[in-house]
Amino acid sequence: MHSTRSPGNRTTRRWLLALAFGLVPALAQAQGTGMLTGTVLDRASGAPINGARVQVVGDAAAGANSDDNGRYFMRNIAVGQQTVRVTRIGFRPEVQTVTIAANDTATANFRIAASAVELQQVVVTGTGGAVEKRKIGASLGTMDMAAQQEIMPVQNFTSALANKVSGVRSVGVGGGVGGGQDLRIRGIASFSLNQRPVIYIDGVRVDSRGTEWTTATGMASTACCSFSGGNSADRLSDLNPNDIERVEILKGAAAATLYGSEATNGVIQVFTKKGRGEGRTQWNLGLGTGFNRLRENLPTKEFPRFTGSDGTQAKDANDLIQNGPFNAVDISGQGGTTRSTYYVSALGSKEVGSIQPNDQVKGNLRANLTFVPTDKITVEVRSAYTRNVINELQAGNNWTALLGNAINGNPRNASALRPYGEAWVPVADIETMETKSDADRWTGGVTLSYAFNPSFTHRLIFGTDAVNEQKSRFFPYAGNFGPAGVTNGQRNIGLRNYRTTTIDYLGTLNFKLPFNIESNFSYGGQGFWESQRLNIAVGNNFPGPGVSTVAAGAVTSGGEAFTETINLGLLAQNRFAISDRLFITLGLRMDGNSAFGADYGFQKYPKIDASYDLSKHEGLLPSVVSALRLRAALGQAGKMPGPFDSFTSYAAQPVFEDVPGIVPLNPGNVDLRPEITTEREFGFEIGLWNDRVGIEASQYYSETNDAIVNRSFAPSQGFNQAQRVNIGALENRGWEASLKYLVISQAKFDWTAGVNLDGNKNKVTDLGGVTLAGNAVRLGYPAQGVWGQKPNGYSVVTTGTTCGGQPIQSWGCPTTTRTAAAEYFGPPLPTFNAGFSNTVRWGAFSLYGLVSMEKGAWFSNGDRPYRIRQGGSDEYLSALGPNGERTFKADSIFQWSSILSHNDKRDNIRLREMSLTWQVPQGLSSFFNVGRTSMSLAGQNLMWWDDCNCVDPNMNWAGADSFTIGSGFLAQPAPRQFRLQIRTRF
Amino acid sequence: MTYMKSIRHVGRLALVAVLAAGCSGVFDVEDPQAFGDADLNDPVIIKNVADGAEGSLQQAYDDFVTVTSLLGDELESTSTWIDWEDISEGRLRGDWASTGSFSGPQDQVLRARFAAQSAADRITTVLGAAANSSPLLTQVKWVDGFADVVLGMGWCEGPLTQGGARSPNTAFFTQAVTKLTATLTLVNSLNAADQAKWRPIVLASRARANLFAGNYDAALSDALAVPAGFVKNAVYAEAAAVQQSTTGNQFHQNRNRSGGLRRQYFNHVLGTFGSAYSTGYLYDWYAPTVSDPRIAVTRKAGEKGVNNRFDYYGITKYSDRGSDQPMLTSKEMNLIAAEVYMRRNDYTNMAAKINVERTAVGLAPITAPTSAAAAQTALLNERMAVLFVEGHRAYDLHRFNLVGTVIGTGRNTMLPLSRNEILANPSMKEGEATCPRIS
Repeated sequence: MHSTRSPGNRTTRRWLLALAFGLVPALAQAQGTGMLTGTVLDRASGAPINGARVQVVGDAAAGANSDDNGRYFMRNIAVGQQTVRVTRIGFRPEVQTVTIAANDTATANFRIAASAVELQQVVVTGTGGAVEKRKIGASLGTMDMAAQQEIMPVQNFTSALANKVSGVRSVGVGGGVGGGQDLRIRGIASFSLNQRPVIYIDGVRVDSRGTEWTTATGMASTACCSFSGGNSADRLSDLNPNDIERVEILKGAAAATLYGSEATNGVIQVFTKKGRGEGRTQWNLGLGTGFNRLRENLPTKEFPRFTGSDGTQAKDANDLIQNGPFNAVDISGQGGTTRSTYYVSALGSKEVGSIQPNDQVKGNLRANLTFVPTDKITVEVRSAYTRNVINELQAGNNWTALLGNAINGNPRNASALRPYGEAWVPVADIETMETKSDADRWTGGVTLSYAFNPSFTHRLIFGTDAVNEQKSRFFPYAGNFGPAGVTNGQRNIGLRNYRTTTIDYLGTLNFKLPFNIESNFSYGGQGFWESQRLNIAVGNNFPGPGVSTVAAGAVTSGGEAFTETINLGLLAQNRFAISDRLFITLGLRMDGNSAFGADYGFQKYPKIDASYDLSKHEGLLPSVVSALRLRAALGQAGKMPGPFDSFTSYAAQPVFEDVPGIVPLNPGNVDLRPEITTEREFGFEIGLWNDRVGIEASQYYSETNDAIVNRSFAPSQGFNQAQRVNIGALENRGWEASLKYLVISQAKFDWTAGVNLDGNKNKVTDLGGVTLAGNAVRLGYPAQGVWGQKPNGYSVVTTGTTCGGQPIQSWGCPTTTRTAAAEYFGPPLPTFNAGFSNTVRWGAFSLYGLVSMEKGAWFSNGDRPYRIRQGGSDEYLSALGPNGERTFKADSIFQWSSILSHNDKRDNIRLREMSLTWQVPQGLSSFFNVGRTSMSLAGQNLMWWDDCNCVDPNMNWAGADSFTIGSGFLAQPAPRQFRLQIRTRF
Repeated sequence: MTYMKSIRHVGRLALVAVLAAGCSGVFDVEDPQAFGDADLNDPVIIKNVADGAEGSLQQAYDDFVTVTSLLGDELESTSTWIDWEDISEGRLRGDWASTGSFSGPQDQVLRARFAAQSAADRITTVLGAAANSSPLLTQVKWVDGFADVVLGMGWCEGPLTQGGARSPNTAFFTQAVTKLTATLTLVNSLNAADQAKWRPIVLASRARANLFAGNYDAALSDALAVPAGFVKNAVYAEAAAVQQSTTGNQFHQNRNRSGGLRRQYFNHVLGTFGSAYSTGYLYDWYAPTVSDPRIAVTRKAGEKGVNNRFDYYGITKYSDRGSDQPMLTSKEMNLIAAEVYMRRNDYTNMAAKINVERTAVGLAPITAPTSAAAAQTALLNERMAVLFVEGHRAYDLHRFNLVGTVIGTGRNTMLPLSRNEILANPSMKEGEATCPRIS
């Protein structure tokens, strides 16, 4: 008799054949089985819970998700007694034992309780297989993205992370739609390398570039110019946030050891949604609309007091602020059978920036298929396609920054052509430019899981992320683009071809040891191959209007850059569970990498962690304490050097107009190796009053040794580039705490409050005896600390003829003097972050709000003196007399700003998110023949309070994955976002 | 135990696979955009190494001209960069060389010198005995020597050798004379065509070095040996960012308007400026109603520099980023000769040399000065006109101790040593600097 439960060779061959012909579902036959159905309800309110996972323990094929009514249904359950487990993020798991009879339907209803403690949540990232959080000693953050989208819909997944997980920083840096997001975890762990955590989607490493690539060395320098400007598309904005089920975040080296040479900055793994089990297909339709609008606090409100020489009244740059409309539609379907499920989705959206031209048109398609041909084998196939077209805003440190020109001008120079007194390029001309990022992206992978038996499993992931990105910039023939180096028009085209391929094998073997000890052994290998090819073509000087191709330019040039990295690693880990309450994990990862120096071999990363679940001791804890877990972890992770940093190289460089030349470039280092971060971490989770209050706290100390220092040769000793040497060290000390309080949980009213807090202090502890030029890396201070000259004296000088470059007045020159050298102001990142959230549900209405707070960070507020030196800025203009005449105060401000840059604090309190959601009554939604339906009115970045003398203290033009974060120069603030979202199921 | 065996087996296989991968070159990747060190030891490629060395110097030359022109009285910063304004105001910050993107002209020249010296070693290794008769060795030896001349003119001190200790700028001229004399010996081994190309270049360089080293007779001899009409330009091009000239990019209304004619000379400009750009000229030092065509500025009525503060007069000579930059000319040789005559109190011959330049552009000849002061003024006025924004004026004011008189007191008269050099040079320490001099 053929049975899928006893696969022999014949069955295996048959399944492979069937898979080849796409007929796997045909194999989903079962005999001697029964069915299971039931509901999953909220214990407090009795409300049905959607999306709860109901799983027969030990049978990968027997699982289903609950629907909107909390119902679930499974067939092909093996007869006999079965243990059924229900899990849902935010709720305590529940287990029931049911008896399945052949060809009969058993029922198991669950009433699960909301929980502020999530120790029993199962996680998989960096843990050597699926494991409950309570069993791991390192800090691992999780976020229920699907639930978050229900209450606070966003279009960019990285912005959804803001203030949700302590220790994770996610701040918009570019201002325009589609722009970069400064995403980092636990401070700064490198002097010069990429700062962004590595991103995996369903086990496949993906492109997460967030900064401009058209300026890459080797490309832009051989073409005429970089694209500097535009808003730097962030490839993480390619994701459709509605596809994401949950996110797991490894915060530091101790947690991320098994990711080896790329994990110092942490690891973020995104899990996309899967199909449902038995039952009809559930479709989910979302309609979103709304608008973006910048806060009208640009410092040009005094401008209309002034007129230019041609009589033009200067305009206030706040006039440029518009409502940027947003519209989106997304649809997804989840369905399948017990042995084959699918999740398909599509998204189309258009979002327009508040300062225009700037918009993003995005389309996403996804299909996630899961086959369970036998009880032992699961095949998951995922495929996602994205088209993301961004008309980038001209912003950043850039001659054609639109707002940069509008707010940094001098109103007295207003003219018909330059109504804002623009210093460099007229706003009207910038508005005729076109800067476009057009990306095609496919991300796909296959996960094969094979359970030889429940104790011996294998998982193989193979996947690729392929990004084809074109960036183009066009200056029309007509226009005053001289400062940007453009006469008679210019066309730039850049092509970026990025591939990363991941292969990841993990085996797990569980067995029991004496003395009530269980062993969970994991082993495997992980490798990736990453390549990036950049091309640029530039055409300058068109013969006339009407042409817009590179070839139409009288002067054309091109550039190319290529990088490639190969990494292979082995890993092994053993977790010992002693009496199911003390868990000790030992692990080791060993990496080889093409970026290591030729004389450097493999790098080893060890780890050890321990977790002690005291709540498993009967009667040990007082009754008020429902859960208590102590944990500690010590581990290492690395950060590989740049792809070719170890090579001694000489650059091909054109000279004498068209003659090839070769010049010393990189001194190389055959001993170059990864930066090694060792992190130790202690923490606890405690649940109080039956888990109505959950508190989690961690303290960590990480030390990065072998930090790569860019040790310059003296210019007299040649080589343009500095030599990368592993001689530095830096440390991060920090703490994280979060509290979740289920204040009230009743059928018609519940209220949940949450607090996330974290602090971090960073310090450079060793530079190998090298003093680096500049102030970004100085011994004893935070990396990328903010430095500048400070005022050190003041007097009124009556001699001389000028005052700050202006003719001296009768009152003399109020003169501030400055220190000879730059002095320290403060760190670039906040030393304290806080997020306070509240969710209140009253009947069909839910009100959610999130307030964030940052303290301790400084930045170079270069815009402030820049505007004043130009003769603009409300700060200066308001100090002038009623008729614009100079005053003592105005001269004082002007002279100060002519010799000093300004450094200010980024401290702020921000109303970051707020939403009101209405669950449409079932009677009404049924009238329209649809299922669960909700309407949300949501806002992001609504208001902030600061003392920074700037437009927005979070402004940072070079952020995203860049090391440079201490400057807000010519950046644009992020807009306030207002959304109306309707979501319904059918 | 069966499981443990399986684990060990799988583990061994995986380890072998990874180690084998490492040994079999799986981790080998190639950088297709750069050469390795050994790649350059090729008779075909070596020419490009020599051109690369000279190209590095040429690409540094415009930045040298830029910063020294701002430091002197020719140009004024009309930018919004504090770095530039500091140079323009002669108030160089203690950490100036480490800040901003304009901190590295001396670094560039030093690196060009290194590139030339390492290229010379490579040429000698690759070509062997034939190196001495190869124009490539002459080329890089000239770069080595002329880089010293540039270093001596711009910065008050620097390293005479790779990683060497601080030396005053005057020592660079002495060293340059030695190097260029050796280069002239190499020139004698070249074929006729190469000799014709390289001899005036080396002679003109040595003439300047000798002048600044105080070897006046030798300077005169070298200068007189340079043929009329000789020009050696630093060549720039619009096409590639690395080849674009800073002078063209920053000192002209077509581009950034970050530096323009210094305000003290606005009242020297003759010309009528309307709503469209037109060219005006500074008047002749000897005839305030006559334009000197060598000092041309371009202006549009009402236009200010990019700082929106000062009226803007662009430097017509550098109208675009591809505008070449004179490095050595026979015109300069005439003025070197004139200076030597002046130092000999031979004002007649001095005036004759000056008048060669004046009459060539239609200006009236001057009469021979009657005093040392008048002779010096005549010489410096002529040097400013002939060599306008070519990198000479700031050093002229310094060496004749005129910064305070011409621009103002309390100013740095030369640029300070690069902080990058101080920090990375094993023979230097911070805080040891003895210059620049303050006017």
